[in-house]
Amino acid sequence: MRLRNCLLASTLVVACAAALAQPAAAAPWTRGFVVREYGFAFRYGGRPGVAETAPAADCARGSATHFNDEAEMRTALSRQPWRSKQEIESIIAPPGIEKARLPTYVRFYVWGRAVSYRGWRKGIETYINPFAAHDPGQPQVVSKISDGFDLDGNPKTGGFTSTGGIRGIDNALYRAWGCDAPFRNPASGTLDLRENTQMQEGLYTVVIRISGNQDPMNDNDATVEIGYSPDKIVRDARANVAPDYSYRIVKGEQYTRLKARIRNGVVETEQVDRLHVPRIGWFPDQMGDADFHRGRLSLTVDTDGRAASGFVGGYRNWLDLLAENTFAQTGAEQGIRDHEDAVGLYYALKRNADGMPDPRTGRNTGISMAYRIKAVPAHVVDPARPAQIRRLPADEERNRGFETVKAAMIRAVTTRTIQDVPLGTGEGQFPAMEKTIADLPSRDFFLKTLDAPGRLDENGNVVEPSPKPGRLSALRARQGN
Amino acid sequence: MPIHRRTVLHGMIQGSAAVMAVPFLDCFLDGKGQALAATGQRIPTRFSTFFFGLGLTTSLWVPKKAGLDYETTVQLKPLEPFKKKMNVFSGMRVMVDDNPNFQHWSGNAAIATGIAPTKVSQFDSKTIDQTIADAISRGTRYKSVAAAASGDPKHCYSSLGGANTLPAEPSPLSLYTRLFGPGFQDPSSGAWQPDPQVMLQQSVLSAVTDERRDFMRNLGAGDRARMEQYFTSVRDTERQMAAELQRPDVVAKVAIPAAPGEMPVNYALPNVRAVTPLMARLGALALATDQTRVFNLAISEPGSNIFVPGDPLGYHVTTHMEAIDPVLGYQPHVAQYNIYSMELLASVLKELDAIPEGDGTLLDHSLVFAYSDQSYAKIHAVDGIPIMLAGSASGRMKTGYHIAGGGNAVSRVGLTAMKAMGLSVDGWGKGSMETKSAYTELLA
Repeated sequence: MRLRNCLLASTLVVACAAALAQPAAAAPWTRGFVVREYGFAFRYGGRPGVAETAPAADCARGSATHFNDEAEMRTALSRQPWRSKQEIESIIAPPGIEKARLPTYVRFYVWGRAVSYRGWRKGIETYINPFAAHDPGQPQVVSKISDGFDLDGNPKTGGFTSTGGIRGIDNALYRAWGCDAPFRNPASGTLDLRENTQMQEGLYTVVIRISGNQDPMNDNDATVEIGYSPDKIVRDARANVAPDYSYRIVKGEQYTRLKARIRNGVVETEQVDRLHVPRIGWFPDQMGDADFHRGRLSLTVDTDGRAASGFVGGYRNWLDLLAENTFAQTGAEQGIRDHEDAVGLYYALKRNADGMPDPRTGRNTGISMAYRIKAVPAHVVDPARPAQIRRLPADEERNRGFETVKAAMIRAVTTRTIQDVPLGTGEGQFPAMEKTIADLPSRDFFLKTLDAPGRLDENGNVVEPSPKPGRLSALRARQGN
Repeated sequence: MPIHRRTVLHGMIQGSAAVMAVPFLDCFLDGKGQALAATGQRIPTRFSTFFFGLGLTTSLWVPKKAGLDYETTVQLKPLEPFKKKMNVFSGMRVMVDDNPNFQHWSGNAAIATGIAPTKVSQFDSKTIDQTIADAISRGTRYKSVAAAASGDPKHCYSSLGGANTLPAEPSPLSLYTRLFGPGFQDPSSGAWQPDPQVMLQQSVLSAVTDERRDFMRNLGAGDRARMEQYFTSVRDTERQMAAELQRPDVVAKVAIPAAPGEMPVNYALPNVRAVTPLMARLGALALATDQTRVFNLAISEPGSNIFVPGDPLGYHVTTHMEAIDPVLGYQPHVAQYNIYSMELLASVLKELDAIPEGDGTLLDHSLVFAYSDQSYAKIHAVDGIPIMLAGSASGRMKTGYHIAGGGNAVSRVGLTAMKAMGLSVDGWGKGSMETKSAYTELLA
């Protein structure tokens, strides 16, 4: 009897425990995160205390050094056979520069104008028509280790192995751009630092929400959502991204909902044809849809859910990537300031493109890549009313300029037809150069010698170009004249 | 015969009354040398700003120790002679809230107004110097005076709000002419007398006062607002003229120098080095002779174009183009430019400290608000922008401290400065930077 009672009691305890455990494991759960670091998944292979231009495991010749100094400029300008030696030397050291009020900017803009015209003949703007310029070369990553995904499911392609030993990692963007100075070394790469600083200061916010019905650390039927939030990142008193704040998620163009499996805290999503996530950027005109093809996301979440890190990747149209980077400011400005040559990047992307083949030509229009993600916990909530991405009215004009110049570049590259610089976009350093060299004694030499997208009248206003004869007749035809 | 500041000597010459003023004498001061003995009016406390572009290098300027007796860092070394007379603030944050971080602008405007700017190149309120000038500049000839050491009158970050800034004097000569040219009378000179031309102008302005009331009655709301703005400027002019009709409460014995000659004023560092202390000296004389109580000096615009001759990049471009030295961990050329900024600040403080005044110097009776636009110019970061407050504001500010801000809003420094200047303000700033928390431990 006593034994029976004991057995009954034990059974009851086990049953209760099971009953308590079962609903807990099967309960719906949600974890949210706000992204605190977002950038290209490039692995820096340099050693501490050694210059980034020194040979390293990732880049055999160190970082790219385009336009680094006068010698590099001379090399870049010497590739145009139509430039005279005198012209090159005058560009390198503009005569009478010491008499100008802004000598440093005189050189900056004269150099900028000169590198904006490196076509096979005079008059071709380089950043809009990169195919018309010689390839200046871009050092490629030689390392065999990379972050990212095996996007094509083939361990024999891609050429990289992950730090976890997965073969066939496809991250051709890393191979093409990983030695580019402004993105190399997360501790000092100017644009790598800048994109995160600007995001944290409120340029944009990316949120991730993971939900399921089993266990946050192990769930076969989880869901991952990623998208913009209209709410600015909240930082704590130490300027770190503060955890546990609430953010709305915008279910717009850059929102994606993915099925996922979670094993020991590692979240792996399905691979989908189109994966829309926010782009990285450091200016408002770079905001928009990253639009990955065959995209997927992987995230490792700490046991306590206090941190998450991982990658989102896929194939992206490489012309989109080139435009987003080149025309963040102007091609020349970013080039000279950050030692980056968008012409070199163009050829590097073209060489390394490995996906999204054009059905007509068979050429690859996409390149495999990934963004690195580091995130802190947050409450990601659906907005009570439909929310929009935060965008200031003042950014609209800049966005229009970006879209105009991007369209011109894509038209030029895809049709192989030389395109003019759309005036008003600042591309070609116009009219910045003309205004900066106004008091330069050798001003007339540069106005006469250097190509320009347009000209200024005597009052310093941009003269609207008359339509070219061909265009004029086309215009008249459209108007029925 | 009782002697006081306005004592004049009376007499008769050829049957007419003659009056002769006396120069300013030490006996006009009280026993402590801090106030005018006759009126009890304290030596006025003056406010100055010093703007330098592109910040400093964090690893080279921020002292490790907070509070008193902090170590002098490499980039604070030029300021060592004034260490006991100033406070440095590190780790202060500019919180931009719903606004972008406008490159080279947000930091500058936020520190000057306590408000993150909503538009580039515009202030969202009156700048701190103008708020302080409203309170302390009554009775002076100029409400405030500004100078630009790189020669561009637009390099002035003093504003009544919006896109307009008060134009700066772009050369030592123009600054001298404004301060000590036509219309200036040395207040310590016995020959001081009200300017008859000013008296005439004042009467002309006064004459229209009655008529303008009738005029305003017939205007719509928009025009009335415009006319109010216009009359405000007229009233400022009247106040200035009224000040010119009274001998300033000069408290320092200074000699007004001869006008400086023409000299190159531009971004070349040797010229900036020659111009800055000269402008500071003229500004100091203007403060000492009570021409104004607020003086603003900018050595450049926020994205400073100062350059060392022979350096083809200059300061701003170098901040973006120069690589970080992998061994040093910073940009060496940028770091050197940072030091030049601190040397120029030291040259300004030296001029203020060189004028004896009562029991101390003009610097002791001043508060100098020095600040920049960026903390890490390479990436346009605004967290940790260097800010300094020099001078003890006539004893109202304790000095010699390093305040480690720990992420506090920059507006706390501005509020502290305003309280030290004697303003009756509870709080300052807007949005995340709205604060009622001054650094009271610094206020005496």
